[in-house]
Amino acid sequence: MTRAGYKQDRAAAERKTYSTVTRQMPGVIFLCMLLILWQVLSQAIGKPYLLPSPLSVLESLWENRREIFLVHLPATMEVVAIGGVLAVLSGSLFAILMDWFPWLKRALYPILTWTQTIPVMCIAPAFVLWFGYTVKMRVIVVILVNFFTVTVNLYDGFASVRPERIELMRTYGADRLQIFSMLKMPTALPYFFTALRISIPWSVIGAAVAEWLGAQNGLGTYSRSCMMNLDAAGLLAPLLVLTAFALLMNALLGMIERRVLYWQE
Amino acid sequence: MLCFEHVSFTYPGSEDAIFRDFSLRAEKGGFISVIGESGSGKTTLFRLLNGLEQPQEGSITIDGTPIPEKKNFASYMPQQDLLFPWLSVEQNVMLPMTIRKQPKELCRKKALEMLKKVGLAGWEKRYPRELSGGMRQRVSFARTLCAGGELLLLDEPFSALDSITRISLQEWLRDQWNHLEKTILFITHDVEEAVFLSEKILVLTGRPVTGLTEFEVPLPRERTREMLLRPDIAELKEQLIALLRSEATE
Repeated sequence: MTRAGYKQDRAAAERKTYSTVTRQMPGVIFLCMLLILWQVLSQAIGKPYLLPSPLSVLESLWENRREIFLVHLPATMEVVAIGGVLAVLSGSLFAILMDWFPWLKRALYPILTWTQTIPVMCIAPAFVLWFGYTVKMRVIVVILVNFFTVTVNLYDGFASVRPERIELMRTYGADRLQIFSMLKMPTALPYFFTALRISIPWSVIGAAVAEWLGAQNGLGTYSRSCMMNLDAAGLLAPLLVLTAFALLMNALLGMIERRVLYWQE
Repeated sequence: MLCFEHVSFTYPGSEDAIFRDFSLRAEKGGFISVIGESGSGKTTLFRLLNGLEQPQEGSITIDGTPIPEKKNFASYMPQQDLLFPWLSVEQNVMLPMTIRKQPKELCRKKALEMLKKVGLAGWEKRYPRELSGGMRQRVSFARTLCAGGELLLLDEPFSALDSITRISLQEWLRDQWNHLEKTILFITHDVEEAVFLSEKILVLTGRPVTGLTEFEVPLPRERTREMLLRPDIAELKEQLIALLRSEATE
């Protein structure tokens, strides 16, 4: 690379960094203002069991770090991971089947849409009755929360293929399997990643709610026990961990997405 | 020889026939343009040839063999390039051969050869988003050539391009055909384009299409755009426009 070219690239990189910082700045400033307001309000009210300050939440997190990070976080992550993977697998399988068999799509799609009007969080107590306070119950809640999102997004991805492209492949002699693997799958990939981006926070929420209903371990359980003891700072500390975890997972997913969908604008 | 004999076709669910008792004969090795107003059945003609639609009556044969019994006899180039954005230029060109499960090395060799032919050597690892409209159409043409048919079906391939790119690609296509031993059936609604490119022009007539009117283009194989200004060519264009107008008002 020439010296001039290097300078141009460096200037472009600096401009890009500057524009990213400028874009993020209003959000960061607003968040800082909210935290300051929260701190001031909490000190003004002076009742930490009602409104703990952000600093006291951090303090509680630090004091109970061993219990939170070594006992409860792994338990929640286990449910998120198992439930999330099973939701993605089962949702993908249903989307593929609905695309492959149009009669199945006609039979299932309306029911799937209809089931979305039932809030899973509200029927979750029924799962406690059927499966008890088990990991199985919590995993089922996570699966149900995400199944529809994965199925419908992926199916819409398959359906978004331009018919002209299918016909072009048919003129080359492509069979159904080739059309699916060489055209429909790559077309649906951006939709699949959208489903994953939605599913990550919902898996975390689903797992936490299921733990609230009853479990031996987990951040939801920890949060609930803090509520019973009127420990508001302890109640909010696990939420901070869950939020950070969901954000981290989304950032990781974004990196994978950019690598996999390298061909997009 | 390509032969349509007494072909009748109506799209399923429609009451309006597109072709009724339609016949056509086209000799091997020519550059034939098919013109007609929008909705006159030009694209349906290609769909029938591609086997994407089946005529309800009549037969379509190539050298006496019905189309359903023929394999890889025609290569289709659609109006839009329809390149796959996730495939590199090389992989896009290889697509018809990949579908036919030909050996990868052979596919790559042929794709590179075709890209060289269309003036895109060195662009094989790029992606469609990095190409201009004209370059994308040339990749699409290279892909069509790789599909291997003796008959090239080009469906208004330049209609979405700006006029300068369009003119340069018309000259480029004519030059390509001079060096290819292929029959080209070219759909267009542009009279000037048809005259510049073709040896023969077919105008679909009637609604539904029942026949066609043939025009020979009195231009040499090696031709230039200036030749379009010749009085006999200007008269041919007038005749074509008059026929298309009368078809539109019927």
